[in-house]
Amino acid sequence: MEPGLGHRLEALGIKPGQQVKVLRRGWWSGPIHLRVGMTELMLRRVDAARVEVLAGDPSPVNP
Amino acid sequence: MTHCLDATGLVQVHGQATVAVLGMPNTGKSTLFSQLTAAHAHIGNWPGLTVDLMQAELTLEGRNVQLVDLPGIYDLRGHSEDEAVVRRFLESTPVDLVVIILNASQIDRQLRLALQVRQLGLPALLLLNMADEARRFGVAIDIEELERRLALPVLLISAKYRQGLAQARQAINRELAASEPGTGLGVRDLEARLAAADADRAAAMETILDAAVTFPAQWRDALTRRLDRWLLHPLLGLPIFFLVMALMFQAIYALGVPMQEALVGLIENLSLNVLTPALASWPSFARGFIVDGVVLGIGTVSAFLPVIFLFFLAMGVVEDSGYLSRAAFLMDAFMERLGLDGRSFVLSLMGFGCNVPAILGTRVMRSSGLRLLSMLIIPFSLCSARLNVFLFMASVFFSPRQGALVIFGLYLLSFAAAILTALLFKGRFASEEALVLELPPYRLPTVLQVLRRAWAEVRHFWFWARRYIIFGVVAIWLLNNLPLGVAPASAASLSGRLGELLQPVLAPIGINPRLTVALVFGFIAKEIVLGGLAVIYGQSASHGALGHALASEVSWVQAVSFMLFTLLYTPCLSTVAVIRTESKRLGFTLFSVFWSLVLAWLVSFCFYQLAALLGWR
Repeated sequence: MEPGLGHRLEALGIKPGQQVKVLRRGWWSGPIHLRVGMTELMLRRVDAARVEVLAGDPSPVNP
Repeated sequence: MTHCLDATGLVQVHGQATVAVLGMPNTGKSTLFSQLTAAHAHIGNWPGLTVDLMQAELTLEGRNVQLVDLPGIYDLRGHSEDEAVVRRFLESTPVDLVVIILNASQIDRQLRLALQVRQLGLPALLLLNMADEARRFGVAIDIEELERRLALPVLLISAKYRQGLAQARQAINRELAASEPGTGLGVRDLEARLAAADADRAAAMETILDAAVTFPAQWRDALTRRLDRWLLHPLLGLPIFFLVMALMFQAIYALGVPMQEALVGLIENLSLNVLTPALASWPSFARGFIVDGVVLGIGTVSAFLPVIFLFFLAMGVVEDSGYLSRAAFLMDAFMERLGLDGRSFVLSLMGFGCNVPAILGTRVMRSSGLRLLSMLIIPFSLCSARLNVFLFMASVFFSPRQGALVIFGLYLLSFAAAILTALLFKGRFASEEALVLELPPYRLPTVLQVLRRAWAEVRHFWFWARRYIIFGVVAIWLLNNLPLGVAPASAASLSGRLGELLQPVLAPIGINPRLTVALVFGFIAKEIVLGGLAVIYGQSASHGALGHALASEVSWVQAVSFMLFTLLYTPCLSTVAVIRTESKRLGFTLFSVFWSLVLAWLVSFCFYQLAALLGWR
């Protein structure tokens, strides 16, 4: 992982054990739109691929 | 260094407390700063820092305070240039109080920054901004519990709606009273201390949040959800975005151009009916210098201030509403293929106002390849100064309908030049930088907030422009009228000789000697081009006088070639200067200037020669 990406992700709320919800994927393999806690983010797919995630319930976070 | 000697040569005053404002991006930090300082802030140089910081000297209940606005950062351990700047500031400057500003509704992650400051042992005060939004989203914060756990004073405020500002001032004053100003030292071993505390921080954050904050079970921002469904739509998102931009530009010109014409008329009247009679007794050389040089040049350019004000007003609304970060989302896939990212696109859009702040904005990028490539394309953004020239030329050489098309074409070319440049050079400025950006909830900007910002931008523009314009028009007027006794702007004058000298290069693209002089001075700033033309032709831009003079000796094909060249070559000296300071590379700066000149000449050459082949001229 690029040095600093881990820090940046953590500052934006993506940390081990954190629940993440994917809201949408951009056109033409564009970035993904995420909701993490109270924050919404965009993250490129290549970078998102470096974050290990487990599939969870369809999240109760979103109405 | 125990006392700061800043670059302006002022020793930091004894008894004056230094308060640093620190916060994450998108927390309303700048709004808070400008409200605390009532817009008295100025740019200050700090020892050891490569960038300027905004600062203000104010009196808080009888206490002299120097308030410094640090760049918005995510993480004191981060790798971006802004984060390094904040670290160097805290290491080199004794700070009496750090005012931490966080977005209250995002306290779940932003508390981290407050804990980092706490771990450095700096005296601090925590302001939780956007209290209104937190309430709306159902985030409830137990302030007393938070204060107790953090051992910091905490206040809930809303800078945008001016709530809690008085209490914030009192709290700052109270904290400063508890310590003796100017006794602190810079932080030592900042990075090592933060790294050592990393593990503890995560656990501490969880405990504090559990005890003091209640989050909603369900996400409540239905408005953002609904808007995003359309504005970030996979197929409709981009068309909607470009439609919004097109409407925005339409509205700016529909409102701005009549205001501009009224202003030109007013200045013309003043010059003719007040200034000329008042200077009647002056020698003709001096009178010509004032009336046909300074006043004509400045008047012509100042008439464009309304359009620029409206432009910044509209950009402010788009930015503060949160739509601009959506543009980054929509454009990122395309920009990625150009070796850039969504942020480069947003910065290029900002560049349509002025290239200089857009280039400064590349600081958020960490990869030097990405930064340099962004700096290479931003100067092709058709800035407001160039727009002045195009609006004028289009009105002289084309009908209103055709003129609008020509301007639209120039905007397209501006994008095309940026895209071509990125494609050609992306291999040389490769970047592996990850892109993680926040998409804030949609917000309604307040009228005051947007007006104040647009006003500040116009003042800034005018401050820069005035210097260059005065220098430029005076220099052009002198070139036209020296050696003494020569017919103004004739072949025998200095400007005539300069124009002739460059004819071998510029004649093939249809630029005559007089237009050459305008272009040469346009290198200093595009604001000079129109004022310069007015001085060269000795005509005011009002009542079509300058237009008639131009149209009588320049064909529309030459005019378009002139516009193409003006669009693509170096925007202005300030852009060159800021590229030099930001890239820290002379070679890159020269390359950027050289490439834009080459591209400008090639495009104008192709157009002019093609037009000749088609028999248009």
